[in-house]
Amino acid sequence: MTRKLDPLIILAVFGGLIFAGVSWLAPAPQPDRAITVDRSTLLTFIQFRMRAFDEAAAGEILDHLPPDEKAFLIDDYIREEMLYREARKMGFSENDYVIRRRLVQKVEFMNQSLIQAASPSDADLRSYWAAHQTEFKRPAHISFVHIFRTDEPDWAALKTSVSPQNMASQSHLFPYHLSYADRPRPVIEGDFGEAFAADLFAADLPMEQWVGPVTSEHGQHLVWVSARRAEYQPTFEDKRDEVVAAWQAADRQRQMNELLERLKNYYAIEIQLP
Amino acid sequence: MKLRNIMALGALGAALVSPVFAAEKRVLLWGDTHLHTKYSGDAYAMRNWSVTPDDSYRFAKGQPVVHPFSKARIQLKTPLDFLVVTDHAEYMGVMQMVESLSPELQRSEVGRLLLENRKTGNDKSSFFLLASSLNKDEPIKELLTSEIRQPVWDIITGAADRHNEPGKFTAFIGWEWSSLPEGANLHRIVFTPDNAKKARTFLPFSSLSDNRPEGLFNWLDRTSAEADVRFVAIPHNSNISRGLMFSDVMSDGAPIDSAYAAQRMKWEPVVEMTQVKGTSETHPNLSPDDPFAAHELYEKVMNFNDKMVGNTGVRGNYARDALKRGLEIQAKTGANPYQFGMIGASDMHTGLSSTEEDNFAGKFAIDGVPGNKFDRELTPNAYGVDMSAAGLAAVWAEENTRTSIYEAFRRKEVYATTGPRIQLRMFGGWSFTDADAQSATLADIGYSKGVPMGSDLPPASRGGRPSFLLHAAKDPHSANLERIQIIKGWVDEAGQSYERVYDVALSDGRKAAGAKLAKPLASTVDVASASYRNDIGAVQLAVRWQDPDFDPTQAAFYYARVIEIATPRHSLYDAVALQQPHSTNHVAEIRERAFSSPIWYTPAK
Repeated sequence: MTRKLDPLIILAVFGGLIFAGVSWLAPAPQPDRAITVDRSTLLTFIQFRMRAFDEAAAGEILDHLPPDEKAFLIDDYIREEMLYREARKMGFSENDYVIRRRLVQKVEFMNQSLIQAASPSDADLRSYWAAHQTEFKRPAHISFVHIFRTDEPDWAALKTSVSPQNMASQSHLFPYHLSYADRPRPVIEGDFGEAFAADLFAADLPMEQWVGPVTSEHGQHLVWVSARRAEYQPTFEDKRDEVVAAWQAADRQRQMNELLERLKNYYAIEIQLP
Repeated sequence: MKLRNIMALGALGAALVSPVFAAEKRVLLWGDTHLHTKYSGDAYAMRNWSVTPDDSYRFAKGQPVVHPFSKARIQLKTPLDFLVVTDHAEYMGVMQMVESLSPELQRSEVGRLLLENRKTGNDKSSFFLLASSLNKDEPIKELLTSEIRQPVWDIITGAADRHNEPGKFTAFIGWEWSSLPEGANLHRIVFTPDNAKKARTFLPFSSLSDNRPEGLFNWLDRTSAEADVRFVAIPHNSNISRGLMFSDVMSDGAPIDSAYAAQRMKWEPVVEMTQVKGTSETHPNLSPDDPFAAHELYEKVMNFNDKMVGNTGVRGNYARDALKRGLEIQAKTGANPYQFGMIGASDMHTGLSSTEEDNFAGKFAIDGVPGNKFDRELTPNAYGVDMSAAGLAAVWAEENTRTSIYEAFRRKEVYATTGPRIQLRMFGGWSFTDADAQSATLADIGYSKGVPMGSDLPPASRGGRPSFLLHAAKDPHSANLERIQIIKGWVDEAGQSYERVYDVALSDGRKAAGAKLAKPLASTVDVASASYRNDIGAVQLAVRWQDPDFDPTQAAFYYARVIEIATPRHSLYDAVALQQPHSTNHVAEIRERAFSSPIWYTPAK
């Protein structure tokens, strides 16, 4: 199922890539004092500055720069290049924790594109689903209106005379909403309290009629529920594509961890602690 | 009178007593939920060395205070009803150590650098240094100890409690979580209606602890349970979020799911969509058919490492598009992560909430004088002249107390203005009549026959079409109104979203003509003198509007936009004062506006 990766091969590949990265940062030191500014240099420079790697867009910008701004861009590049070379000459890239973190990050990024996730079998996916299916669960939703009262009205009379569209005409001041359309259970719990939410989501609560009074943290309510969606556990078939993506992400992580374990064997690690 | 109205509505038996209506108790309160004092590192570095939270509350209450840069006396024409002082949690207290030349700073390399900057009068580079560590998500650990942060938090929370006067003026405790990964602005205001005693059981959560919004939500979940504290979080400046504020994916790149949507809606009922760094309602690229879309756009992304251009007019950056995207995501996953109300707030760093164009105290202290608005860079590529004298939060609340205002935010019965105090009521329902819009008891009718802004419409009656009751009145200190519009967004069966703007009430005898929007009224602004004639437009507009294109199978939202006649922009007052021509890169006049929170329609399943 899993392809074995030789840590030394991986290292060689990483090493090559890092070298390529570093040599981009310090292009061709020979001849030592030459700084060449050509179109491709500027395109790369623009893309790094924009943090958007789209060569066509960068070309578009470069081709439409007014002459003074183009001169400014070139000057900006030359300054950066000169200061960068000076800094390296002075050895500033050594023992700099930010650069160290950056290099580590680069290897991690490369690794993400380098490690291929395996193709999971149906059994792999089903066992992943079994362990993780609650992560795909959707909370229960409800649509209802209510009449909120802080006094003791004739509840029976209210029930027979008020339509759900007209509930506001008989309601006292309520801190939140009188109408909730397809809202998730946590919202109802936040606005009314958990006991009220439990009453509204109870399986035997009648729909399309006034029910109550139901007690919340704020007072008493007549409730007219028009729709409910139970907490929904999607089936494996519904979510198959997402499960494949999740399984592959986990697989890449597992391969990375394995690789790091094997690298530990490659390095002679000595922990000198009391 | 009220009882007769109820009887006129029918459907009521004589056995019923008249209930107490919400309309009589909900009053309009004006406030600012986003204001920085000298305790924000960037504010201090940009020369706000004097205005403390105490001064900010005094200014909001209408008292005269001294401007931190010009040192001139400044005062609001109309006091605010509530204020949240929201200093940055990131590096809280650091600049106060710099100010006192604390020997503690000598112990770290970065501390010595900050002291050196102080000596050479270069606090701005300290600000850029600290801000760039937010871009890179590389916390400077030496500057994040609780010994540095706690004393300032104690001052901020103490000032709020001292200035809170229930029934008269509400002072909230809050802060800003200023996540700025790679220059993408994901900032949130957090405020609590609880007191200093509770607020001192935690330190304000900072993006240096976790710069993912999910990290903030998790902290709010945990802290609200452990410390028994209530919170509201309010995102702002989506316009410079590089498309991330209202994305269709979560921080890990996975598509938004219903658990994320529920958690986000639990903590973020409201979005701050107009403020000193521009208005994030929409962009001409996203709303090509909306002639009013280009109001105070601002897209100067805050990347302190590179001077980088923004992603202009992209999805994810604007509130209207987010409301539409919310419906799209709801169609796909069954949950809407962007069912939010809207407010304005100032985000000013002077400690002075000053949203009047002719009395604007600047974004930072240093640009608080006209001559400094053109050549003092404030954040990368941004100058004082780019800023907007905006915005304010309007709240319909039972009374002027912490809990009442907090509840109004939770139910989204709040709205945004770009500064003027335009009064706006909006109700949605199934049975409003044209006569309702002309009634002296419009609000009673609105609350008793429908639901206010921020709500879900009650279930449709068979064959019904929703109607809306709207009333807007001008700010007595500002210009007349030229129209009310409804902006509708909806999704079709394929999950594709659409938007449409309707004129619903027009001033000066103009008639709304179906799909065609009326031209803006000609401007009366005199550029040479920075003045305007208030002899066009209306003092108030009221209307009942029914959706002519309603489809009961399509989920939709409706929000109102009220537009003033043209008036001078703050930069025009400056140009005239300086006796210079107005900047050609900026408009000299604007049409100030109010935006309601939406009302949503959800089809029965």
